[in-house]
Amino acid sequence: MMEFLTSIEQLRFSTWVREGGAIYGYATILFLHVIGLALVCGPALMISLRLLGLTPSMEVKPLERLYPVMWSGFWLNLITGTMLLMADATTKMRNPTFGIKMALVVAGLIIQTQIRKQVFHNPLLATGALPSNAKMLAWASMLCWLGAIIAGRLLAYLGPVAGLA
Amino acid sequence: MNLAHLHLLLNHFPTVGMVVGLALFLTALLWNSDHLKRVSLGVFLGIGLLAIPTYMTGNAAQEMLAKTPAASVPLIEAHQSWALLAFMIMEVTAFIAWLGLWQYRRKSHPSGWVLPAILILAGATFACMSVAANIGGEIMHPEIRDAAHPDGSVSWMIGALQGSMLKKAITDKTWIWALCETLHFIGLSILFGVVLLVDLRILGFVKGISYESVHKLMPWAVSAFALNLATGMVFFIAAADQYTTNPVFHWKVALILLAGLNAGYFTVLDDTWVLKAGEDAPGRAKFAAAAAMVLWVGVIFCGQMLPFIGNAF
Repeated sequence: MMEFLTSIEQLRFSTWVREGGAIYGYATILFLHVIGLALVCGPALMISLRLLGLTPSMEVKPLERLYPVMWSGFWLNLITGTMLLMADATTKMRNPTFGIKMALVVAGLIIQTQIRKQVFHNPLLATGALPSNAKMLAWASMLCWLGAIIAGRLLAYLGPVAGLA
Repeated sequence: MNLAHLHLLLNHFPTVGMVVGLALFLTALLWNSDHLKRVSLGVFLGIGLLAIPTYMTGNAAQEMLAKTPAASVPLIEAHQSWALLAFMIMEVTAFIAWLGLWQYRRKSHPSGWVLPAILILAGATFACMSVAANIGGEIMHPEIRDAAHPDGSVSWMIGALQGSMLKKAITDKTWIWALCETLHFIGLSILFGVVLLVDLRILGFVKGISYESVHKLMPWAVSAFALNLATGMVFFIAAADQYTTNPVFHWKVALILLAGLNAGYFTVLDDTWVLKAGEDAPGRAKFAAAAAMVLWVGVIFCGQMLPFIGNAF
């Protein structure tokens, strides 16, 4: 396993990400990863706040248009995240915090698609009512995305931190 | 012009601005003029924004003065301590002033506690700022120092707020830095989420919601900004020189000031306030919305590049 991770880390591409691109490599990829984070978590939090009843005068249905925005952020982060992981495979893959982050992201994705299905595509919505589990889904979504941010940031501090921040 | 010049220029805005702001505000309260009250809240908000580069350039000036024997080191430290205290109360004042403006927009008047709170806080800011300004003036002017206390009247100055003590407390404990970074990212997500929703509404992508309903979310954005200013100040106090000498950081602060103006536009003006669900926003509102996106992505870019283009850790 360790040899495999090391071989990924030593690919020419991974080395370029780490060392070769000056600010165009690692720094720019990390910046794009933060933009992707903001595009996923920002709209997800806004939808949660609405479902929790903080802005009752806001129509719910138009917020479904935030889904393509969140998906673009997700794909951006899947790509940039893979690149960052390749550059630092031996430390990240041995760090339990990374596993927790991935679990939270997957859970977040499932909950976010469930919100689309159970809230946005609910015939009830036309009458202005929200399904009874809407608030629970909103809390769960907030918990997953904020948890993913926390785990992601702490990757630089917890576990074997010999790698890149 | 260097950053020390800029400090000498900017430092007049918070001090003189507070006199103007307080005079306007007291007049407004006596005349009971809502229009004038809103103007003075705007002045306090503006001073709150300008106080950010004023405080930060002070650190750059301090580094330059460190090589000048004429400057009094205890006076510089006392000036900085009082400036930091004044800065913190100023930012709370500006936050509540923004809240007052936001409430004026939503209802005909702000909540009962808002104006009295601003009066007390603005008074306290002015008092601390006067002390800071007075000591600041004495740093390079021995002729105006009190003859009985050649190092200034520093002895009774606060010890607990000493910049050097705070700095040590933060850098000694890794967990403070990690905690603040994490909170900084959470603040970023909330702020970006609200900005994105406001912008997508104005640009017509999420047209089905009224502006009034997104306007209601704005305190979340401003609170998230306050969180990020507070956590950002922790980094700044702990390692000021890595920021004051970092051009990316100068850009970041400049972009934040512009984004602050932009947020003021979306808080108070009628352009967007009148938009009902489904209505198209006017051209200048769309321009401001697009500008907000560019500015905040720019702020994130500069923040992310601090260790890469500059030398921050």
